[in-house]
Amino acid sequence: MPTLARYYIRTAFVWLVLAFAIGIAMLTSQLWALKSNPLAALQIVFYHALMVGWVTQLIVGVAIWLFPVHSREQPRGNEKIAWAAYATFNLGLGLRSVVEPMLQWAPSSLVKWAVVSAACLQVAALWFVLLMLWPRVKAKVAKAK
Amino acid sequence: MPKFSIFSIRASLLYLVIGGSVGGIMLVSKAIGVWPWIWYWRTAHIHAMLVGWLLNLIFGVAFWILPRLDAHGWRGSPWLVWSASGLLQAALAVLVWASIRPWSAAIAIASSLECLAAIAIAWHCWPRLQPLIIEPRPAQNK
Ligand code: HEM
Ligand code: HEM
Repeated sequence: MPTLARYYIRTAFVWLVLAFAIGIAMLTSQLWALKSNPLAALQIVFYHALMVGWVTQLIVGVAIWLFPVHSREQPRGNEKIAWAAYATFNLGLGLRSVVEPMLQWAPSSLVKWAVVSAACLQVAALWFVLLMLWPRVKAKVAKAK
Repeated sequence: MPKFSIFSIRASLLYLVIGGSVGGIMLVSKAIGVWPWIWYWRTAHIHAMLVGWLLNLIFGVAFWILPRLDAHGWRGSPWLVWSASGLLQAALAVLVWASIRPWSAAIAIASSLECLAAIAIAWHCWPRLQPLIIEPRPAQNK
C-alpha cells in the first residue's frame, strides 16, 4: 500500500476513535440531566468527525490506493497535491472541531476568524481531493512500475 | 473502469466539492453572521453529501468492481445502472430544489424516485454478489 494511502487510512481511524470519544462524552453527559448541556455544542463536531474525518478520508485513502494508476511515471498523479489535500483536510477539520463549539462556549473575534480559516481549509481540501482523484477516474489502466 | 463508473464517480466528486463548498459558506456565515440566506441550503448540503457524494460513489464503484458474470468480463446489462443513476440524479435535483424553496409534493416525488433507484441498483448487483469462481490451474508436472 502506498505511503500516502497509509497516512489517509490511519488518520481516518484516529478520527473514528475521536468521534466515538465525543459520542460517549455526549451520551454520558445526559446522565446528569443538566438544564443546558454544554456538550450539545459538540453534535456538529461529532457528525463531521464521523462523516468527514472517518468515512470521507477512508474513501479517499482507498481511492489513492486502488483507483486506476495515472501513468507509469506518476502512478498516483501529482503527489504534492495529495499531500496538500491531506494537510488541509486534517488541519481544517481539526481546527474546526475545536473552534466551532467555542462559538457557543466562549465567542471572541479570534474564535470567529479561526472558524473562517477552518472553513477555508476544509473547502480547499475538497478541491485538492478533486484535482488529485479526477485524472485517475478513467478507462485505461497503465501498469505501475 | 467502465463508462458508467467514470460518470458516476466523477459526479460524486463534483457533489463532494460543491456540497462541501456550501458547507464552508454556512460555517463562515455561522462565525461572522454574513449571508444568512445560506441556511436555506442546509438540507441541500446534507443530501448532496450523503446521497450525492456517498451514493453516487457507491453505485460507480459497485458497477466497476463487483465480480463479473462470465469469463469475458460481462458486468450485466448497463441499462439498469444507468436508470438507477438517472433516478438518483433526478431525486437529488428535486431535493436540492425543495430544500431551497420548499414545496409540498417534493418529498413524495423525491422519495419515490430514490426508492426506484434503490430497486434498480439492487437488481443489478444481486446476481453479481457471488463467490469468485477461480478455475484451478491445470496440473503441470505430474
Ligand atoms: C468542507 C467540508 C464541510 C463543511 C465546511 C461542512 C459544514 C457544515 C455546516 C456549517 C453544517 C450546519 C451546522 C449547523 O447546523 O450548525 C453542516 C451540517 C451537516 N453536514 Fe457538513 N460540512 C462539510 C462536509 C460534510 C460531509 C463530507 C458530510 C457527509 C458525508 C457532511 C454531513 C453533514 C451532516 C449530516 C450535517 C447535519 C448535522 C446536524 O444536523 O447536526 N458534511 N455541515
Ligand atoms: C429521496 C429520499 C429522501 C428525502 C425525500 C429526504 C427528505 C428529507 C427531509 C425533508 C429532511 C428534513 C430537512 C430539514 O429538517 O431541514 C431530511 C433530513 C435528513 N436527511 Fe433526508 N431525504 C431523503 C434521503 C436521505 C438519505 C438517503 C439520507 C442518508 C444517506 C438522508 C439523510 C438525512 C439526514 C441526516 C437528515 C437530517 C438533517 C438535519 O439534521 O436537519 N436523507 N431528509
